[in-house]
Parts: sequence; C-alpha cells; structure tokens
Amino acid sequence: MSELVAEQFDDLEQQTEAGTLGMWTFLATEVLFFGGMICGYTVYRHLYFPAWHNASLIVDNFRFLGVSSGAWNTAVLLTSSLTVALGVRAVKLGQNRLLGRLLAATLILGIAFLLIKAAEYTHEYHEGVMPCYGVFHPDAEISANLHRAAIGSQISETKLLRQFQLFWVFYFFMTGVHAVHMLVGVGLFTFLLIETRRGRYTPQKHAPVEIMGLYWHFVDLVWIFLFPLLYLVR
Amino acid sequence: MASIPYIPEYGVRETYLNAKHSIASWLLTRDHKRIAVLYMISITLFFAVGGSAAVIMRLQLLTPHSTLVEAETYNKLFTLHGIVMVFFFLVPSIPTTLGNFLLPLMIGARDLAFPRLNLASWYLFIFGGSLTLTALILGGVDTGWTFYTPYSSTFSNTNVVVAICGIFIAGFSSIFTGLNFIVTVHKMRCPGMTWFRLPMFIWTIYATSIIFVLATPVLAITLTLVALERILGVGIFDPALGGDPILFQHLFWFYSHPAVYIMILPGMGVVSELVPAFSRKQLFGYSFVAMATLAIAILGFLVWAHHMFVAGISIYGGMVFSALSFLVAIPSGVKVFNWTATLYKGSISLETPMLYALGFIGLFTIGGLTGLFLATLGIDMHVHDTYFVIAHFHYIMVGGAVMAYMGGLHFWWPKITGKLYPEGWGRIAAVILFVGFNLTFFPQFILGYLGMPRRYYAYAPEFQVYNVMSTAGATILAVGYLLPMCYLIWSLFRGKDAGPNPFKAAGLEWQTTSPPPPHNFDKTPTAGEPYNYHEMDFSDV
Amino acid sequence: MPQTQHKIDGIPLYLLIYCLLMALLVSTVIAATFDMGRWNVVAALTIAVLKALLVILFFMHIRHSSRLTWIFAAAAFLWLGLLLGLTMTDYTSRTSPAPNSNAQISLTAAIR
Repeated sequence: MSELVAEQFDDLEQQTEAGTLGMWTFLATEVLFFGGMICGYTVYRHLYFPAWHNASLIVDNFRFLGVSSGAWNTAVLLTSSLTVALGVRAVKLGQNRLLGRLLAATLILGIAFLLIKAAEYTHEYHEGVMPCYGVFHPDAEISANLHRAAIGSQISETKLLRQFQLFWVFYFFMTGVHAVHMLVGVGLFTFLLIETRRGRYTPQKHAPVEIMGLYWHFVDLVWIFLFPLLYLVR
Repeated sequence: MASIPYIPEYGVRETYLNAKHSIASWLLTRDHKRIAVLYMISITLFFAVGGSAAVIMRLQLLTPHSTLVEAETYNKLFTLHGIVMVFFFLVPSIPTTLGNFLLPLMIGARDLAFPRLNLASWYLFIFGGSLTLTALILGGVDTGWTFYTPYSSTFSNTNVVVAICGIFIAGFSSIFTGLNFIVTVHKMRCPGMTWFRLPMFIWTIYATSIIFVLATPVLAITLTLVALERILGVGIFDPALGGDPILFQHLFWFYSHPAVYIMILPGMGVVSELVPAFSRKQLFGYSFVAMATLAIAILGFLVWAHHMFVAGISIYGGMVFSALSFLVAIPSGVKVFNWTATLYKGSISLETPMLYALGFIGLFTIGGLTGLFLATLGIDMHVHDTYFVIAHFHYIMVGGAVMAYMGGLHFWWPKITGKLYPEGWGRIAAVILFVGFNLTFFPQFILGYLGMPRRYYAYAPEFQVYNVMSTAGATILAVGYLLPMCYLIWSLFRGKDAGPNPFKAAGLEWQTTSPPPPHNFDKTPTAGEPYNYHEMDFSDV
Repeated sequence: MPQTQHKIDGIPLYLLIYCLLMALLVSTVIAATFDMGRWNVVAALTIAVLKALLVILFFMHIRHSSRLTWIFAAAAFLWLGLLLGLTMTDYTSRTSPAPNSNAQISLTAAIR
C-alpha cells in the first residue's frame, strides 16, 4: 500500500486527483503553447488570404484514394482516441489483456499518422515548397498558379511569393511541433504497453493510463483544429 | 508542541538541514525546503552577475561620452542586465525560494504535490540559466532583453539562438513550478484550511502560478520562432520576407506583461504577511485583498500592448489597451489601502522586515502611479524609450519586488536557518538600501522627462548632473545589498539560535521548529483563522 | 471530496461518439468543396469545435469530472481567445492613411 501512495499524499484518492489535475494544468499550458502559433496564423491568414488559400489547396492536394492525406490523418487520430478511451475503460475493469491490445492498436495508429506525415513532407519537399533558404523553389506548376493568382488578386508577384512562403513556414512549424508531441505520445504509450505486459496496472492503479490518455487525446484535439486551419483555407 | 526526535550522534533534534549531509542528499533531494535553499543560492549568484553589469553601465554613464566601454559592449551589457535580472532573478525569486519553502508549511502539508518535478524544475533552471549566461558572457547578445525583430531575427550577429535556448529551458522550469503550486494549493490543504483561511502569501503565490502556467508557453513558442527565423532564414517577423515585426511584439508582451505581475504579486504577498505581523493586527479587508490578487493576475493578461503604443499598432487598439491598463491599477490600489488600514491603530514595531515592508508600500505606490502616466497615450508618446520608463519599472522591481524579497528573507530567515540575523545591522542595511535606491532612480524620472533616451551609451551634456546622482546612488545601493550578504552568512555561524516563533507571528509555519523537521510537522495541524493577532498574548514582549 | 472518477461508460457510447466524430470529419471535407465565401471558415471551425467538444466531454471524461477540471479546461481556451481576440483588435482596426494626406506621403516616401 505504501508503494501505491507517495508519502506527501494522505491517500490514493488525493494522489489520483492531484495527478489528473496536474495533467489538465499541463494541457492548459500546451493550449497556450500551440496558441502562440495559432495567433500568428490568424494574423497572417487575415492579412494574406489569397496566397494562403492558394497554398492550402496544394497541401490538400496530396491524396490517397481520392481523399486528402490530412483527412486520412484526422481519421487515424480520431480512431486512436477511441482505442485510448476504450483502453482506459479496460484498465478500470481489470481487463489487462484487452488493455494491452488497445494500447498496441493506439501505437500502430500513432505510427501510421507519423508515416503519412513523413510522406507528405517528402512530397512537399519535392514540390519545392519547404521554406528554408536554398530549398524553397516551387516547381513549375505551382509557380504558374502563383503567377495567375498574382494577376487575379492584383498583388505583386514577389509579394505574393513571400506571403505564400510564410504559409509554408506556419504549415511545417505547426505540424512539426505537433509531430514532436505525437512522438512523445508514442514514447509514453510504449512505456505504458511495457508496464501493462508486466501486469503493473490494476483497477486501483489505473491513474497513469488515464493521465497519459488525456495527453494523447489532447494531441488529437490539436490536430482536429490544425486540419481545417491548414488544409481547408477556403 | 509534539515530541521531537533526538538523534544521539548529532546531539540535536532532526531538522531538514541536518537530516543527511552528503552532496547527493542535497542534489537529489525531494524536500521542498532543500530545493528552496538551492534556488536561494542560485538566484543570488545570478543577481550578482546582473548587478555587476549594472555597475559597469552606471560607471559608463558618469560622463556624457565616456570611453569606458564601446557602444557595442554597452548594448551587450544592458541586454545581459535585463535578461539575467528578469528571467533568472526576478521571475524565479520569491516563488522558488520563499514560495517553495513556505507553501507546504503554510497550508499544513508534508511537501508539494510533485516533489520530483520540483527538483526537475531546479535543474532546468540551472541548465537554462547556465546556457544563457554562457551566451551572454562569451560573445554576448546585443538585442536587449526584449529581442525585438527583425534585429534579433535577421540582423544581429550575436549569440541570440543560444541565449534563447537557455530562456526556453528556464521557462519550463517556471511552468512546472507553477503547475506544482496550483495542484498543491487545490489538493493538499490541511483539515480546516479553507480558501479564505489561507495566508495572503499563498493567494499571491497561487495567482502567480496561474500566470506562470498560462503566459510562459507563449514566450516559449515566440522565442522559438525567432530562433527558427535565424537558423532557417525564413521570414515570420521580417518585413522583407512578408513578416510583421509587430506580431513579435504582440506575442512577446503577451507573456512579458503578465511576467511583471509574476514579479510583483509574490512581493505583495510577503508584505501582506509582514504588515499584520509587525502591527500585531489582522490584515484589513482580507477578502478584498484576496480578490484583488486574482484580479491583478487576470487583468494583467489584458494590457500587454501598452508597451507598443508607438510601435505601429492602430490607434483604436491603443485606446483599448490604455483603458484596460487604467483598470489593472485599481486592484493594486485596493491592496495599498488595505495595508495602510492594517497599520492604522496597530501596535507597530520597526524590525528589519517591517522597514522593508514600509519601503515597499511607498516605493511601489510611486512606481505604480508612474505606470498610469505611461498608460496615458499622450504622455507615453513623449516618454516611451526614455529613462522615465526605466525609473518606473525599477521603482516596482527594485523598490517593490527586491525590497519585499529582502523583507521576506529576513522575516523567515530564522525559520529557514534556525538562526537570528543581527537586528541592528539589518535596520542599518534597510535604510541604506532605501536611500541608495531613491538616489539612483528618482533622478531617472527627471532624465526621462527631459528626454534622455534609454539603451544609449552616451548622452547630451545637460543630463550629466542627474546621471552622476544616479551613479552615486548606485554605489550606496550596492552597500545596501552587500551588508545583508555579509551579516546573513555570518549569522549562519555565529547567530543566536532562533526559537520556533521569534517574531510572535501567526501562521502554521511558526507552529513547527526552526528549522523544521524533514516532514514539516510531527502531527498534521488543523487550521484556524489567519492573522489571529488579537487572540495572541504579547504581554511578555 | 466527492468521488467523481468511478463512473465507467459503456462501449456502445464510445462507438457512438466515434461515429459522430467520423461523420463530422466527412462533413467538414464536403463543406470545403462548396464556395461559401467567408462562411467557409465559420463552418470549418464550428465543426472542429463540435469534434473537440465530443473528445473533451466523452473521451477525456470531463463529463464525469469535477467542476474544478471544467474550469481549468475552459480557462485554457478562454485565454487562447484573449490572445487571439485582443491581438486582432489591432490588426482589424488598422487603416491605410487617406490618399494625399501627410501620413500617406511620408509612408510612400519611407517605402521607396
């Protein structure tokens, strides 16, 4: 029992409540962390809408079976949230084997997300839209589109190109930071899976699963907003 | 009092200081009291570094065109001074030292909610601080602590990225500390300790923690964007590449304005403990002070663009932020009135901590009122980026926050170390500090009003007399800091042993030994009404 | 302190929420194919908010959590709103100087 409850706490209930509240507080900091980027996004979308609309169409254009990779990624993450929620339910009911399977499924889905993202990044690199100096060379088709857009919106072509590049900065940075958070999530859930195989989690000691589950759901939440903001600028 | 364990080989009772002696027992401690001491030593070192830069700057400014340092070096000096003093001294100071030490004691808990996270916070602080200090000293950074773009992101040739990395890491130290404090106050109060029985210091630490948690992440991401811009050559804030430099300022000040409330709220909390203790009287208007504390924390998030009135924001935006800035002054005023009302008809004694508290009330009021001048658009047009602003924030940061820290350090020194500091020297140092401070910074109000710009290594000859006054004051101020450094350390070896409650103050921390045992209380206490001075017996004082 | 963590939802409920989430995903993709002018972003964000609410309420169990947790979660989004909202008061109220005014002349000269 003494191993279950740390010495600064009076009982298991206090410990669990403190842990959960601590995770929610941490998630609040993460909302503001991503929020800084979202603020910058909001400002530039307001100022540079034509260029950003154009760029967003390009992002959305990378498709598997006619559906954009962004939509696939959203579906993958929503499914992983389901497996996490079912996993938390399983541990509270003492269903250890089911918990293991659900955690493994979550991991597979998380890795699938990262692989799709990697494919997107590679494709975008080849299109020449990665925004660092030396590498930013939009290919012929994109350049032609931009040229037409400049004429249509009556903005000088150099300016439009700069505004277009700025979209890509935000795209890579926002999805990149999100991907780092996904990696951390994959790491945490690998740990959870190993501990589950050792039978460490019981209905009494289920808090770590629930608390890390909150983190995973949060990363899913961020993506729920990133998808329309980056892929669906219309 | 409950029985205290006796360790035969030490011959004294077990306290958090003598429980274990190895270096590992300090560097791997989970005891919030030891972590507080680790922080205390760390921030004192940072203060010395930041203060040294100020000394050199004040020497440079003795004459209008001094050649003590070059212009480039001067830029690096004020950047170092700002970064070190803001991020590595003021922001952590009271929360990580007095806050860490006292929070569990004041609420009757055995430790914080997450002791290992607390230790991790200290390591993050040390690592981030060392990284930034290295960047600042080896080569330097010349952007100012505000890192305005596009200078910091494109044009500066100095160690901006490394400095930013250190600040980013230290930012997470703050975030985790704030998280720890919030969860502890919500979940670990002892029986009977309702919210409105908490010492006011806890209210302010709690409000500060809210700011830590909600503001610091925005700074983290903003500085990361600047670093990214430098490394990748992209244009988030660079107008030549389509970016908006004012966006940087919006994001930067969204953190940095609430940050100044991080720096002052704990100081207000300390004063709210000192004034009742040395007036032998209940804190007047407790619930108003508590609500004012929360109001400052929340309203403080709504005023950031008053740092940007002349930067190029719209005039309508300026009006909105100016009005909100007037609003945030009100709860601060409420607190000053309540402290004054606490003093009224109190049985006042002028021990060292009380001298610092009284100094705080006066100097914070001047600093705060001059803040209202700056919030007025018409005045700000003229005094923005002059010494008026510098005087304003030093009145609050030094006249306010640092004096509160000194007052709290003295008041709780017996509790932390078990030793009494020499009261005579304490009073002398407090007065020297007060005189030195005013001589240093009051002339700067005049300088700013007359038009002397800030961050300049030279100035027009007509400003010299005030600059000389300011430098002279700085010398006296330095003595005011060195004296406590000396006698406080002396007291560790030769000071008289303090009993559990040398000042006869109210509060659960005074119900345990000085220094406290590792687990704070032998028996979990039950809370009563706070500041119950009217119930205490002072007949033997 | 009342025990709020003991309610365990059934599998059918989780599957229902999941189906709703997928339906919302499909609708957001379809909505993007219509040109609704400034209403596109409103539609997209409304659907995103609905998805977020479903995840927060049901998957993250805020439904069963204490009032304190509600407040923490709400505060986070409120603060994000403050950051975005107050910043945009600047950007949406910026006006170009009137043509041929002194401000316009200095601005043009500065850009050249």
